[in-house]
Amino acid sequence: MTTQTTSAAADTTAPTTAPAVEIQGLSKEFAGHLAVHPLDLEIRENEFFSILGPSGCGKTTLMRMITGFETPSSGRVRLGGVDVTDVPTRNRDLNMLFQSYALFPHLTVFENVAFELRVRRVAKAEANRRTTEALELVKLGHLGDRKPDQLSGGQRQRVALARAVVSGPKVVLLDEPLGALDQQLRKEMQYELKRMQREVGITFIYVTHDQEEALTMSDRIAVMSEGVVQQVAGPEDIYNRPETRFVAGFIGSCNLLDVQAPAGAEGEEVAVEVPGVGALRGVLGETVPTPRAGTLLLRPERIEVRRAGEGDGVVGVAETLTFLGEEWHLHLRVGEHLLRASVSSLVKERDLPGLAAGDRLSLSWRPQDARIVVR
Amino acid sequence: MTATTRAIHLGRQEKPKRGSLLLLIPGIASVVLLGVLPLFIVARNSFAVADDYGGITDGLTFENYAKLLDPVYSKTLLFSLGLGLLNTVVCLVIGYLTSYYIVSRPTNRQGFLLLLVIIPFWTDFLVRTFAWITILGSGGPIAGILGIFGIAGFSVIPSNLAVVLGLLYSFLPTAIFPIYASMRSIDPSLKEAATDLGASWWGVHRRVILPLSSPGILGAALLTFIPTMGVFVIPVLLGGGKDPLVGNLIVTLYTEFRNQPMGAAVSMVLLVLMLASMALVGLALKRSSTKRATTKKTEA
Ligand SMILES: Nc1ncnc2c1ncn2[C@@H]1O[C@H](COP(=O)(O)OP(=O)(O)OP(=O)(O)O)[C@@H](O)[C@H]1O
Ligand SMILES: [Mg+2]
Repeated sequence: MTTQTTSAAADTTAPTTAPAVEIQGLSKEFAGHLAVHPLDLEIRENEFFSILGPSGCGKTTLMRMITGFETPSSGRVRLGGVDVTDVPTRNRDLNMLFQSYALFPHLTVFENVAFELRVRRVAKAEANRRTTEALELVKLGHLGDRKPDQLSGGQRQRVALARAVVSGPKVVLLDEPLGALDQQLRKEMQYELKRMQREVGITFIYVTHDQEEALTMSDRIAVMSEGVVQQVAGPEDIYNRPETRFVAGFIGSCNLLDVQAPAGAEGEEVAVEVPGVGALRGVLGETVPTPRAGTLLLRPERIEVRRAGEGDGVVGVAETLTFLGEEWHLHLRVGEHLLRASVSSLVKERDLPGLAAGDRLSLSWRPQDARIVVR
Repeated sequence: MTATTRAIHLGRQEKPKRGSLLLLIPGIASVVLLGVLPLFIVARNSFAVADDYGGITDGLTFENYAKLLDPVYSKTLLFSLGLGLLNTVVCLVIGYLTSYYIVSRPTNRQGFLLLLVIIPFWTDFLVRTFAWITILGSGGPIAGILGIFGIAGFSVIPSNLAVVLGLLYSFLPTAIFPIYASMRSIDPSLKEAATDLGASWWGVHRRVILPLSSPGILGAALLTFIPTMGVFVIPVLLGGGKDPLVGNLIVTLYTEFRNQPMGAAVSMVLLVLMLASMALVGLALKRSSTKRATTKKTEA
């Protein structure tokens, strides 16, 4: 006991609050197809936790197992330390925000938001007060009399949000809540959601397939692919230190080169041979006990481009140059590979005047910007 | 949304072309000839005086309606109302539960289940009613099974219980379809949302599914209540004709008693009852939609 306390105190990265949701070995099989492979997750209290992944990777299924709509094929779910795997949905202290909003069309906005308080038999005066508060929180106090079909998409979204938080649940799960909104409204609602989450102090589990949304809003992100959690980390780590080839390719744009990873410890600087390119420098993204096939991950913006002859890097030929305003995207032919690099407009004007397709360029990067992963 | 509104708008403004009016003639003619005209004749006859052979003579009298207050008739009317009500309630309850069961099955299974509900319609109504005599009668399977346990002489034919069972059997599909139709249009995530917000099975139904399927339920009530009173085969075959329904009364008055004006009067009562219940249902639907819009004002 004592040692545990000291070690916790010494470890500054340890979470200061108890986990809001703990998932152990949770999996789901549909008719012989494993939609969610057994996975472990720990979501901290008051955390904005995103689940990010392409369509069909099992995000919704994972959410539905946490809410209890779907019975897991294996594994346990704990809420605030209590095992709720066998507790019916209605007795779990969490609420879900549906992608389709799922507002009750026969009830007014006010009654929609008050629904849970009515069901749980909260005294009428108290229920009305809290409903009014929740509506004010989403700035819809004046629309309580309307029916859902008299609202705009954004307003419906807010009503659904107010309805989900009115009873003060520990956890709110949001399944692609902004999917149906236009770009402008999305941005607005992203900000609103974040503000509300901080204001109300509720754990948000947020499902999205929009990487930018996940990066800007989340405290931590779990990246999923084909029912497997690839990596759980903060936005910066996910972007800069992807642990798998999938994460690197899915988030942002990344050059992926097949290499033979040598044995070594995590973070060790190594040189790998890329056929037709030569020896490239990089660091091992994880400890590799024995040499095996791997991937070299290199973000386009981490590549420094100079006129050939000026540096000692890899030499490539510019094939296409695309102007995007603040930066230029280059496609560079290196041996049989086509590498992407991005150069800020300022750098291009200053260091690469008159750059044109067919020019020979030298490419270089810091070793720590080229990560070698084996998954 | 806007596109639809505009389409409707345009549709209204469009003048009907002469060709389309011509096309309507067969329809209008058949409605007038087969619907309006006979109805008009029946209405007229209900105020007529009968001659000694039951034929219609001219004249205008309210006597036919006054006679309906006679216990002979009023008893049948009340009994029909009661039985109609009972059958409607039972059909609605079972119809609601059945519809809910079908709707909660996977979509590809729903068609099959509905087919099961329809199949009996492919056999003649009379034949099916005779089948019930066999099932519920002294030589039927129920009597047979009870006989094994030493309970001899089972038969509920003829009895009012058999009539109730027969009516339930005949009208259940009529109740299931409208309820199923309105339930199917309810977004399944509404049920999940209600569960998520703490509602029990009963709460989900009372607060969400029931109100949202109320148009179908009211429609089913309408399709069950009045036709039940007009049924005449079932009370005769399964009930032994002891307690007639309005339908039997009409048949008897027209055929055995040869009292056409009385028969017409009873028919008119049935018609008025039907119109009244339709108006009531319409009113209920309108009320429920306006009430919902105003509930909050009183509470806030
Ligand atoms: N009820 C079900 N029966 C059978 N298979 C299912 C069922 N629900 C989901 N699946 C399958 O499980 C996999 C994961 O589905 P899920 O809905 O969780 O994906 P998702 O990540 O939420 O995708 P999206 O981003 O498109 O919403 C898919 O292959 C899907 O076809
Ligand atoms: Mg989904």
